[in-house]
Amino acid sequence: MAEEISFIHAADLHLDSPFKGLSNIPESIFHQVRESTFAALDRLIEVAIHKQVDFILIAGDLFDSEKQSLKAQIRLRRAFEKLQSHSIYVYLSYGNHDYIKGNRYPVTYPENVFIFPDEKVSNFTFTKNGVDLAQIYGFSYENRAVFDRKAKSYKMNNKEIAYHIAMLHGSIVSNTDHDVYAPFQISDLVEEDFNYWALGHIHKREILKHSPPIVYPGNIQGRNRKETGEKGCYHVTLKDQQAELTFIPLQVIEFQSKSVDVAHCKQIHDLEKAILQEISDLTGTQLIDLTLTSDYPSLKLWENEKQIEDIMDLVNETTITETNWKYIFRVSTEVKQAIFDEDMVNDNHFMGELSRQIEDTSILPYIGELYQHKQARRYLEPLSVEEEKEIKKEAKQLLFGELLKG
Amino acid sequence: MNDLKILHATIHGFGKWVDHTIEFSEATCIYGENESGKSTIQKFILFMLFGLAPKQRAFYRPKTSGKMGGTMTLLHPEVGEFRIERLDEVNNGAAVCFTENGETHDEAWLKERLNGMTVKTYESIFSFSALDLSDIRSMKDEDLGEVLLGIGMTGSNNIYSIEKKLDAKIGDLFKPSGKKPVMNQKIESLKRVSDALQSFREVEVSYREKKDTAAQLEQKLAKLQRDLKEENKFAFTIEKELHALPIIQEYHKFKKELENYPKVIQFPENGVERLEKWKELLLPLQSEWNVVTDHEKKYNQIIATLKLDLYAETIQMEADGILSEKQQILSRLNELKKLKLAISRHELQINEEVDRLQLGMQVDELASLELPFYLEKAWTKLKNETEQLKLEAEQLENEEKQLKQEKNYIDNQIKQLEDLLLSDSHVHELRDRLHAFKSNQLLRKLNEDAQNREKERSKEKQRTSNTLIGSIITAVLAGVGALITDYSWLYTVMLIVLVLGIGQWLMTKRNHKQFDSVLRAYRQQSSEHVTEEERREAEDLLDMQDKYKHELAAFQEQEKLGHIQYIKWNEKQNLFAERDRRLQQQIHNQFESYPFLKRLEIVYWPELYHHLRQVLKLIKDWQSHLDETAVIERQLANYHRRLDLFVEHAGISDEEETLEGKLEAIEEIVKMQQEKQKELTYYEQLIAELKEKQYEIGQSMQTYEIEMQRLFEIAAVDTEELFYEQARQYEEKHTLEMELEKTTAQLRNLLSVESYQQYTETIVTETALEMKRQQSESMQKSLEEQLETVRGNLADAKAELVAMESSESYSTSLHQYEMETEHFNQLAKEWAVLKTAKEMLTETKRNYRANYLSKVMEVTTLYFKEITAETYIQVYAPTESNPFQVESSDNIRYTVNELSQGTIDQLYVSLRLAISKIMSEKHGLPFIIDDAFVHFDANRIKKIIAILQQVAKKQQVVLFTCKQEIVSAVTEMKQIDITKKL
Repeated sequence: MAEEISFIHAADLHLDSPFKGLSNIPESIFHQVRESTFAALDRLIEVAIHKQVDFILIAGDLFDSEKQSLKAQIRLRRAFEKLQSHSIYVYLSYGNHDYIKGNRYPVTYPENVFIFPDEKVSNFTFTKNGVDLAQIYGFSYENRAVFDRKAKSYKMNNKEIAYHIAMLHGSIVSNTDHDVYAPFQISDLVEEDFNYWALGHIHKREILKHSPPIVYPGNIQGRNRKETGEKGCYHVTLKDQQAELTFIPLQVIEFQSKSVDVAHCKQIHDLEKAILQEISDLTGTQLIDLTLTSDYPSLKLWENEKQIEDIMDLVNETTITETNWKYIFRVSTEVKQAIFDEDMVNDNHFMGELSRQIEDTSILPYIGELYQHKQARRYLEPLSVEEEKEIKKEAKQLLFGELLKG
Repeated sequence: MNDLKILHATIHGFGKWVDHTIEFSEATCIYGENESGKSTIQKFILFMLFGLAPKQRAFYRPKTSGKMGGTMTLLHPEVGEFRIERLDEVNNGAAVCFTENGETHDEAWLKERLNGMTVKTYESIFSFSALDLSDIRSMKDEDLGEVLLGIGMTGSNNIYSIEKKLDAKIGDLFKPSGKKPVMNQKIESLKRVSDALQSFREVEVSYREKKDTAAQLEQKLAKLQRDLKEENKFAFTIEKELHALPIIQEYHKFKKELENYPKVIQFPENGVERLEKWKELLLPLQSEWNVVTDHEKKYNQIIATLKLDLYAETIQMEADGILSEKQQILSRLNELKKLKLAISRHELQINEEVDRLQLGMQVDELASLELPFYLEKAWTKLKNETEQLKLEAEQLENEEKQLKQEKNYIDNQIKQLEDLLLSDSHVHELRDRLHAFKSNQLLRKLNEDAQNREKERSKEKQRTSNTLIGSIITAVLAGVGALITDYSWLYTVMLIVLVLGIGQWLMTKRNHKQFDSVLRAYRQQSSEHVTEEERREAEDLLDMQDKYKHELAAFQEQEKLGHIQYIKWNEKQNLFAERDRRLQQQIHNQFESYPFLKRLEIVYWPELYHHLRQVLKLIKDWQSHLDETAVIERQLANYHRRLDLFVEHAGISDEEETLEGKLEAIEEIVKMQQEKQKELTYYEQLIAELKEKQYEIGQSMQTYEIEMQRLFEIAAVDTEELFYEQARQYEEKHTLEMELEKTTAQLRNLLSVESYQQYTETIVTETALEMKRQQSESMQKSLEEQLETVRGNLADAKAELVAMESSESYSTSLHQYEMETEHFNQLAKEWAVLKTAKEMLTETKRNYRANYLSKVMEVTTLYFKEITAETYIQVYAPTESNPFQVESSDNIRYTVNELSQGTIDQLYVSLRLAISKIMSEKHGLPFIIDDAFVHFDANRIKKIIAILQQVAKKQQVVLFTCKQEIVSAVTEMKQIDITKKL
């Protein structure tokens, strides 16, 4: 009967890395957004102290080397120092975003922090009351990428020790949404009898397997519209072969995807009320990715005319003042009915030609003026194929809308 | 006909028409004057196909009837016949379609059948105003394009206005080289943020540097602190050293003084006292020593005087030598007398002997004669040999005589036998006779043999022939075999066999020939006959002859032997002569050595030898006595010379002449010398005694002196003076060392080990120390200042680090940059949409024009060619600078202005028809033409009608006209006169 241990498992802190997809947000929110990753970290520390855990595992990507700020590491150090004063250990490995060789700042962490020093899988022993209680295994990325199947290098040693916990920053072989680093298959992980697999790299929380637990805790603060919902860490208690996992949300700002049916809105001004009504149901501080749906093409027209934008400004003006503010940072529209009659397009010689032209022609030569512009291109991200399609689609909608108007 | 076709239309009520039915065929010409309701029918068709807006429906509501609407039956290539029914009051004029199979369909279905054609398009295609094209003369490509576009764009907004709107929006957002537009401004602000970000990033990058700097400063600070502490310690030391300076100086004074003394002064303990004691004991002994020495001196003087009187030792020894030989000399004198007597006796004897021998030789000649030991024997041998040879000579003479007698006898015998022998011819004849007899007998026997042999020969001949044939066959076989098998060795076999066969045959043939010839010879021989008697007589004669011959041979043998003996004798004779010659030679040799022998016979030679020996012995003795005498005389002369020499040397008076006298004088001298010697010996003994005494005193003195010497040795000096000097130095040095030790102890107390070492090694002055103190002070000051600076720098660095660590600038501007970039990208997309829209529109417009224009021109050419009966074969679209052009059949191009009005009209119609055809082609709807040919003369109308009739084969044509000429021109069209006037 070994003593019970408890720890916090977190990953992908991405401290101080900017949010994606936010533009033109008001100053008050901007400040909070900026501080959100740190605030989440502070919460993480508070939770650890409150729960009196033995240690914290952070499985990589604590910050982004490419946009590394000194602040991130200093705040991290402060957080660790706070943990040190509560005798909580930290075991951390570096991932593909904070790989060792990319680190610019020589910030030294306090002695309660154990960092896996290189790409070789090594281990630390956690000792409590003079008893070696847990072996913690892991490795750090030295370079931007690790393509080896690292999972196979995890071998348990010193089996008298009660608990064996593996930390791995990587993704499942079959994952296609993310860069596949240190690829593994679940079968690789259960080869050895580890008590817990603390994974990192994938920002979406997921328990791949319950026994033994193989867990992605996700990141602690959503940073773009795709990282929606609650974000946080797992509080894990190990007792012999039993593992008890509790998710603890840490995010200070939640990304939310919200769809509102505005078919009943006859006038553009009706929108404001409808939207406000829907939003008021949401709790917590929210950044909202709003989708307006309607049966009528008028919605698209409003959008084309930038009227919807104006409405959003009105809505945001209202919601932003609340303590748990809400802010619609993106709005898109969906009209169930076809916006224009395909027959009409077919019948019309010119529109038919136009439709074909749009289908068949690449937009790149048209937009080169901007995207190849000497100054502008420095700030522009090259368009993806999807984005190109999107632009085409919108251009088509715009043209047809205009041609058929009245 | 693949296209839709109107079969008939029934108007229940539409405008002025009520309950009217029109039947259509492929080509239908509907005639009516203006205001005859022509257009209404046209409108009805459109109504049936596409419906009408309520207002228009109201407009066409018949004033005379309550019904508004009708039906129209169409033939669809796929669906077949169907009927469209539209009634104003039913469902807002919506169409209901009835197919032949009884199905009912709605408006949407109809739309589908019409291929999406709308009324607007339909109208634009078929009823665009004639004015649009009327000014064909000055038409440019742009204009024509616009016409086409106008048809294509029916039902949509003006492209131009959309383009303008888009352009404005695009320009509001971004201009590649603008400043005002939103995005251009955004670029500026982004640049600012980006620059700020960059500078903040640089600041943050310097964090590592600053941290290093801080670490270095900390190290430097620690080092400076250490240095200062050291320097303080140093200053304190100098202070102490200054205090100790007098003692140091004293120390060095003593040290310097000490340096004047040898490093080590050796001196015995209480040396001076000890030396004094030994000296006291030595003094009495020394005075005694002096007395003895005085005596010794005196005696030595005496001895010296005595020695002067003495002859030199050599002289004395010489005298002794001379005297010792005195006796010997006297005996020598006697001996000499005796020898002289013996010599004279010998001389007498010798002379007697020489005379007796009478050899004619003098004594001195004899004395030189030598007689070797072998001479006696040689002489005896010569004597014997001479006698021997005499005997042998006689013997040889006898032998010769005997040999000559034997020879004579044999010669006689031989002569007799030779006379008895027969002549050779006679013997020969006898022999032949015997031989002939034997031959006859042999021949007989041979003949018998020959007969036998003849038989064998024929047999052999047969065999040989067989062999030859066999070998030829074998050879042929071998040859054939070789040809067939191609074994070359078979050729060889063939050749060998052939050669062997032929060889054998040839050999046998030759043998037979030879044999035959022999046989023939035998047979030819004569056959002489000899009788038996003759044979016997011959035989006897021959026997006798043989006997004599034998005897003769025996004597001849003896003769030969005799001859051999003679030869042997000759040899002996020769041998003897040789020996005699040698003997004579030897005798001659003796004569040469001893000439006196010539006087004597050989037989006396041995005897002479003995006599000679005796004489020689006598001579020898005499000679030896002579030699002895000479020796003694020489000795005496020597002795005498010595005496003379001595006397001269010793300085003895030369008075005595004789030997004896001289000897006596010498004896006298020797006696005197001996007396003086005795006196000398006495004094020498005295001195020896003195010496002994001296030795005793010396021994006693030596004991003390050794003690003193030991003291000197310890002090390493030779003399007493030096010893006392050493004693003084020793004392002084000791005192100094004591003083030095005292100061050393003091310094050790005052100074540190290092400075003690330093200052005891080198001399230090007060100024030097003072300088050092000042230096140290300034060093301290400088260090303190440095310390202050570094401390300040470190504090600054740390403050900077803290500031950096707590700085939000980079972080903030990073987020800001990200956000603004995001916004910029959004704007960019917005712009991209607008831009794409605009460009697509422009592009499509261009393509549309280009595409349709060429098609239209193609069809126009076709029609124009037909209308002008191929006077013109090509139509060229107008370009920017040129109007329409046509090409005549003789390939001359004309611009539209050069054509006659009529031709222009033809071109117009061609164009008009072509446009309609191209634009409606897709939909396959009936071709409805309304009064297009106003200006045409009858001739042209005919042509146009022809074209239309042509068109009608593919597409239904409905022609509305108000001109009778046209009606009369249509031949293949169904004609409907709505005015019923015609």
